[in-house]
Amino acid sequence: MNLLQKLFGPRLDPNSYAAPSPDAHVTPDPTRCVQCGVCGFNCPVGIPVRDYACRGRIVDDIRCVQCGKCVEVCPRGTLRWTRPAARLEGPDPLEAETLLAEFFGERV
Amino acid sequence: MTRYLIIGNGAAGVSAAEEIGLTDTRAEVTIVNAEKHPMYSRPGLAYVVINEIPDRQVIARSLDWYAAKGITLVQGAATRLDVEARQVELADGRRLPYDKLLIATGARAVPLPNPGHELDGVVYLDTLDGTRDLLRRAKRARRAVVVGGGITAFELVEGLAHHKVETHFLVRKDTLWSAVFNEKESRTLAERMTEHGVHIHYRSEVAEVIGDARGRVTGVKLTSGEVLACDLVGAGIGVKPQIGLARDSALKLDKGILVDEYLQTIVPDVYAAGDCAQVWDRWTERYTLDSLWPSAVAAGRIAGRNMTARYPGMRTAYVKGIAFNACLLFGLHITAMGQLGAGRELAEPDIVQHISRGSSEVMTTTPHAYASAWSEQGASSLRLVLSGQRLVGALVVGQQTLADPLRDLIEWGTDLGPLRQDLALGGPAMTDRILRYWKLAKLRQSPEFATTVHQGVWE
Repeated sequence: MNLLQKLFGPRLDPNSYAAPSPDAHVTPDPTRCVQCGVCGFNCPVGIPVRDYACRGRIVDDIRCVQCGKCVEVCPRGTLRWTRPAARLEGPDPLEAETLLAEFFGERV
Repeated sequence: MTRYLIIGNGAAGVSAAEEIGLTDTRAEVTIVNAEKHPMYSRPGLAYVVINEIPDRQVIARSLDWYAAKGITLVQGAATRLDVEARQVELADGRRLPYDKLLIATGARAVPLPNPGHELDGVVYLDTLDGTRDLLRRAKRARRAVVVGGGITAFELVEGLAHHKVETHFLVRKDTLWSAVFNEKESRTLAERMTEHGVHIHYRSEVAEVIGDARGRVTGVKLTSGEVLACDLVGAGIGVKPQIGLARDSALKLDKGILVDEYLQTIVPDVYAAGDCAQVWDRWTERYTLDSLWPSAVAAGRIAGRNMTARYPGMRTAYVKGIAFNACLLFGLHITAMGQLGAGRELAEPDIVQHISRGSSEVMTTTPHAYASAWSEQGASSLRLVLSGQRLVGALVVGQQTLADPLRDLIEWGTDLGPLRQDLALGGPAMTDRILRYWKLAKLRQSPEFATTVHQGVWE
């Protein structure tokens, strides 16, 4: 990491793994995590991402700059972005009806 | 105060210690550690070898963590278990008493069976010290031969190739990891390897490792008589549970330590979890060995919880999850889950002698009445193994969109009847349909489904 990045935070590339929205959190899938530590090593602000990941906790560290570096480097696809709204959301009845019709059309 | 003794400082042992600390606040926890490092991530060693992370980074729990949790870390090798006296004897003669014991000794790399395996220059990707040694040697080595068939062998190949060592990979069969991969999957990975300068020798087996007068490796002799000169031999032929400790005890052993659904051995208060334990698998309906990190973590937690249980009714049964492994080899994402043997195992019963790290006995088995579906696009491919109308295994190479949905479909035991035509046709259209079908199955898992959506259609 160079000095500029240290001072101003990582550069955000629109094509990168950066957060899709400001309220998104890095969310681990603990069943994929092998605690290798690649995520935390690559974190530009030094968040111990592994400690969150192996406990299956959302990375809600105040220091997170949402660069998505950990999501990008994880060799096992453990980390991804989720939004609080989506985490709480129940099924969409309309979508469910469409899907039901698609697969069980003749019986509806 | 209850004295908890945990033999093994890996995924299962440390998870158990954590869990014990959560439930029993007055617990006296001791972990016996055969290595001199605090707990580290064994799968992470693969990323140390390719210089993705420095070696210190794989250490997942610092010594301060043990101190903060009040866990005593004892260095030494446990050699004997005395069930009557409730003691474990270490190699240096110390005897550690216990009230509850967890054996989480894990598995170790199987040494090369060939003559010359003890020569200087035969390396394994198995321990942190071994990996450091491997890295030191890789910097000087010019030519290396790698033997083996599983993920560890691939990781060795990748690591050595990364260090610009001319790497020769010896494969016993016509394809890579023939117990799990099919021809196309093998070809995809083989192409990647070749692009990285790896020389693959199919149908080749080592007969002997050759050394010079000073005991250093100078080459390997193949069964064909051919001699390959090299200064390093990497072996990744599989792992074996470390159960020497339990050998002369009352514990019941098969390939590993046999445990019941509460992860208890036949001896009360003695538990086993992780790579050394042989656990009931509900898919193959057998006691199987696993060498998977997340399984070891899950089992360790359950074992820890059960060790703190004051009466039997408080214990939790361990339900083994799907054998699942996601890995990154030569920049290629590969996810393997469930039963993937698909017939080859039946034809060649001797094909799997030892499971490799990151694999499971479940993966190499062939399900009953299986059928498979296939889709490929460029380097990406998707293979589904079905038993009847249910998905029991899947191998996803490259594009990983379907990895998690397929795992869910296996876990839920979803009836794939409505996808029958799509599965028979295969191809990219299948991928989209599976994804949509998974969405529907997922909706059905939510409690709101029954109240908000048309009822009775699904069953």
